[in-house]
Amino acid sequence: MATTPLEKLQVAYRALDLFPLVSAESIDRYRVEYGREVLVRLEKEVEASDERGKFVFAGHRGCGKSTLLKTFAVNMKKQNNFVVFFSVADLIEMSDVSHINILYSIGIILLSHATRSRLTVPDDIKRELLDWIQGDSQIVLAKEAETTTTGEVELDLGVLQEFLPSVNLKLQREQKFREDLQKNFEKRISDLVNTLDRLAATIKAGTKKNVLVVIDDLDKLDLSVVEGIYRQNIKALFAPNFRIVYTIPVSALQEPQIVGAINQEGSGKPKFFPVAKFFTRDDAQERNAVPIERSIKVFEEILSKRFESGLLAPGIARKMVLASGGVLRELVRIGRECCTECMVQLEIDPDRENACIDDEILNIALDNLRNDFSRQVLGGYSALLVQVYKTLEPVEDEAFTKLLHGLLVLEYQNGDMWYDLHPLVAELLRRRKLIN
Amino acid sequence: MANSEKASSDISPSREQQNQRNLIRLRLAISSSFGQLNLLIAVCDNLDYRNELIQAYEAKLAEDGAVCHRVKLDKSQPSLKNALLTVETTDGAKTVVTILGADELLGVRLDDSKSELEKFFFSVQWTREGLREFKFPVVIWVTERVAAGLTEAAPDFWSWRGGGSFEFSRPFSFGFPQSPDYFQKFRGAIYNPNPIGDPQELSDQIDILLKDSPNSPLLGSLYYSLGKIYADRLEQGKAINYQDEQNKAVSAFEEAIDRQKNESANQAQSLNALAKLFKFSGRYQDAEPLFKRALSIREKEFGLESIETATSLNDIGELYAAMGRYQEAELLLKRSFNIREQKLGVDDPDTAMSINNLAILYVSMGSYQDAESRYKQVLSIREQQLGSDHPDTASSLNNLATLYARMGRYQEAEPLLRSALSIKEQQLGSEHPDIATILNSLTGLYRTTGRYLDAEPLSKRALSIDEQQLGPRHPSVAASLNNLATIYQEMRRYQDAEPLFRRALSINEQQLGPEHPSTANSLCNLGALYRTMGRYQDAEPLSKRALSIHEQRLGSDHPDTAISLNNLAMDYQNLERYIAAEKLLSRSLEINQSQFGNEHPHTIRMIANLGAVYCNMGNLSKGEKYLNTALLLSKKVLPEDHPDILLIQKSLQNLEKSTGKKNSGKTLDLNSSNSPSGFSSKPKKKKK
Repeated sequence: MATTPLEKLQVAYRALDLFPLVSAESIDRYRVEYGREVLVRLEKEVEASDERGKFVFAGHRGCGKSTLLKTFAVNMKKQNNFVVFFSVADLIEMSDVSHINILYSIGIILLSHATRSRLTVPDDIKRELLDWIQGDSQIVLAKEAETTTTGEVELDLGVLQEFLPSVNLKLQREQKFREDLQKNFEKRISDLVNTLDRLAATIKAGTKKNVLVVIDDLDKLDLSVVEGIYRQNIKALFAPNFRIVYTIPVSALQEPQIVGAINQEGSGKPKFFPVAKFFTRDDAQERNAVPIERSIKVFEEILSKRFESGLLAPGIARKMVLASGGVLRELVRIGRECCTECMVQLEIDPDRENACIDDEILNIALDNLRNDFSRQVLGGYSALLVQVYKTLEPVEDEAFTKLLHGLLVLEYQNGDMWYDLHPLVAELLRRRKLIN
Repeated sequence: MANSEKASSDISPSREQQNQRNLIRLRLAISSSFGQLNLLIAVCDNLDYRNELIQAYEAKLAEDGAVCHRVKLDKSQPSLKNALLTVETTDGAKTVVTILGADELLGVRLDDSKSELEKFFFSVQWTREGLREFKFPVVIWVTERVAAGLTEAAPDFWSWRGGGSFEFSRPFSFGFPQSPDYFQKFRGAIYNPNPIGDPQELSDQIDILLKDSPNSPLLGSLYYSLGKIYADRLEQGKAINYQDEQNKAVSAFEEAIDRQKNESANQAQSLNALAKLFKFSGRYQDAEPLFKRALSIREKEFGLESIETATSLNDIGELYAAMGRYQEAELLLKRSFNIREQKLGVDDPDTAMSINNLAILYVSMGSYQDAESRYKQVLSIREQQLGSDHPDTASSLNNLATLYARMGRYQEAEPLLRSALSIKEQQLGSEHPDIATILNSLTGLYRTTGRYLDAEPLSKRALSIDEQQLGPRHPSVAASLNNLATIYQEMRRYQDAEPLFRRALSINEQQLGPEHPSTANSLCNLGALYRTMGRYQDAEPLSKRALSIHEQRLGSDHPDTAISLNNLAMDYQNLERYIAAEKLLSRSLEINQSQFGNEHPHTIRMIANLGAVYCNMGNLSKGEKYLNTALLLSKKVLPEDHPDILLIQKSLQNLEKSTGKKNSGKTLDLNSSNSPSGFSSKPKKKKK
């Protein structure tokens, strides 16, 4: 048990991990009931879908997608699906993600899961995936398979670290490997897809479960990369004959061509995970408006699960929540920044009693965070931001998607839809007298 | 005298009769002189016919208990006495010795002061006294050229000949043995060492899924994979029961197409795979609509200018090329090339493949210049991209050389093939099937230039590589067998050739099916052998079957159908059914003219053959016109020492000799489109 204020702050700090909750344990401990509607809808739609259904799941960075997808994966596993969840970021160097190495990663992951489950994978499938690898890159599969244990496939990322680490490492680090991979498969994507289908069939025949692949963190890619992947190669990504959930940044949904491509190929429109609305559209810029209590409560609960009582001064949690603009990750960042700042204060004044996060600390923390944004605002987007603030509408400008991607502008969906500035950005403009 | 006059004015009916009479004369002369020296000179230019004649008298003499020897003159020491010294005789036995090889002696002086032929003449002129020790009749076979030389250079010997001379003649005809050209695709395309899955394992998996969830979309992919496994086994010669596995492949692909999402890329892949299987099995008509469906899906799914669409265009182009629909094939292959060049760059292997395919097409169309420039382009891309010692560069060398061989540019072809061979041997080891391909090209070249002794061991090596690496039932083995058999045929080792042709035929019948165009080609080859052996009755049904397959599978205006028509016409001509022969030849000529125009080597041969038939029918002036036309065209198209030109010249000389009239020099009007034979100077567009 943490006893001293410093220890308490350290615990809180660690609990405010910027990484999403993906382990079952941390989900149990820290997860609050958030986005349940979105989760249930996704589950129901996937269950009801064609066995080859493809889903695109979108949301702001840090709005809670990964945690939600992880919960989704756990729930779907209980529904007798063979769920394979992985983050593309764990597998491929992010600057070099392509539709081919995404598909190839699916193949490698399915192969590793199938082998771990002690399923007999036909030799020609293994060779199709691994034989092209030349010389010292050669990967010995059989040996890896022997060391695996029986039992259910665990849904944690540890699977990847144990299994086929060499492929994983190569995809991450070796550009030559990725180039060879690209070269080997770019003209035979259909063959690759067919191999994935055969792996899925092997799993299905062996476990009597349908394969469901969930790929997280594709939304972390640069917009230009996302464009290349989703607009030009959506057909290839949607070609495997089993269910796959892809993630996509919310900004990509501003590109009519990408949305068009997804609508044409996918099972319905992209599933959107909205940020929390704390105000109605009408009240959006009303400084004294009464927030929507239900939304605020959920976010406050997130904080109360992580901060021991007494660490937050009365009323301060609500102020932190409002400054997040409804974006989970922003709340976490604010929380962490507050912890840090508070620890700094303790360092300077160790005898300070009742060290807690109060208005003073929060303001310093917010100032620190605002500095991150000011660079971008100064970068020449202020006019655009002002326009968004005044109209609450999207602006026909290439830069608009960048602003969305960078969380300077937030999209509020679910029923009424509008755009607004991140509260920290709005405050920045206010201070520069650009808005009232 | 009256008889011989009659013969010259009416060559055709009496020619065979005359030949038969001379054969009886020769046989009687031999059997009358057992136990004593009797020099008999037999003259025949038609070497195949010559062999037929020798067999005929030897068989008859053997029935009477004679021992028949054949001795070939030693080129390095072309002396009749030396040749006869090699014969072991037993006292009291009826012995006859046939001397061969005089026709192969070179008439030109190399480093020696005397040519081989001069040495031979010299030897007979001055050693006749020494020949008395040989107590048996000797038949010396010569050609007219040698005979003419003998009369001049060895008049003493010529006048001394006791038994007299026996002249035999038979009009030439060009058969078309279907010996394949070994144009090579690039590595992987020809020999695909990719692992083939286990069909049983996959079938079991399918059964499980069918039981558990019969509508799983994964089943579409599994059926596709199953079809692919069977198709790969067929292609790589690994199928155990050919017909059975072929049927299984077809039904697996059909099941896949049924189950896959309509109009999806996956479905296009299955459609294409089934179409390729049909193409491989020679079912071109069945392949076409499937290829087209795959193309239309890919155009929609990936775009008109996508590389996937380019692949489909290329596939259909190759199919049309095989179907003889050259103009359409050219359009598609060019479109495919343009897309690939634009999307992948001119140096990409697929783009190079497109250029290579166009070149192969131009070879079929007889547009050798177009083919040459493209093969050279591919070669330079390969050299730049892969280096000059890469196996694919060697394949390019092979293709260019094979083209040169076709064009009669033998000197240029050989060094290319030699370096191709050494590259492949260095890079792939000496047992790779690619080596067999090059060896077959090289033997083809040696065979064409008469270097049979060089050709034979190479051809045997190619056959053994194919048998070892691909298994004894692989279609490539049939091609290698065919190659070796053709060498034997041309060496007049018919007994050796026949079983090989038969084995090739049986492989093709079993592996590719009795109705496959390659099976038809095998039938053509065996038929050509029988024709050469004079077994016309045996040849005819084979030629007929080949023709019917070609007509059915390739259509009535395909160039291979034209070849089949030509071959059957040759059988009819030999059976002295000239009217039927003329009919077939006219049809085959018309096909070739409309496909290739007049300046194609095959067209020229057909014109010459038709000329010979007219001569045989007694229509000498018409025959002469055709032969003159053929000569004119062949001189324009072929290198000056091409065997076809020599053969046509020879028959014109024969014609002059038998009619006693000088060649009028008249030719057909090649530019008149309403001439009776339908001559026109340019290929007509296809009617379809």
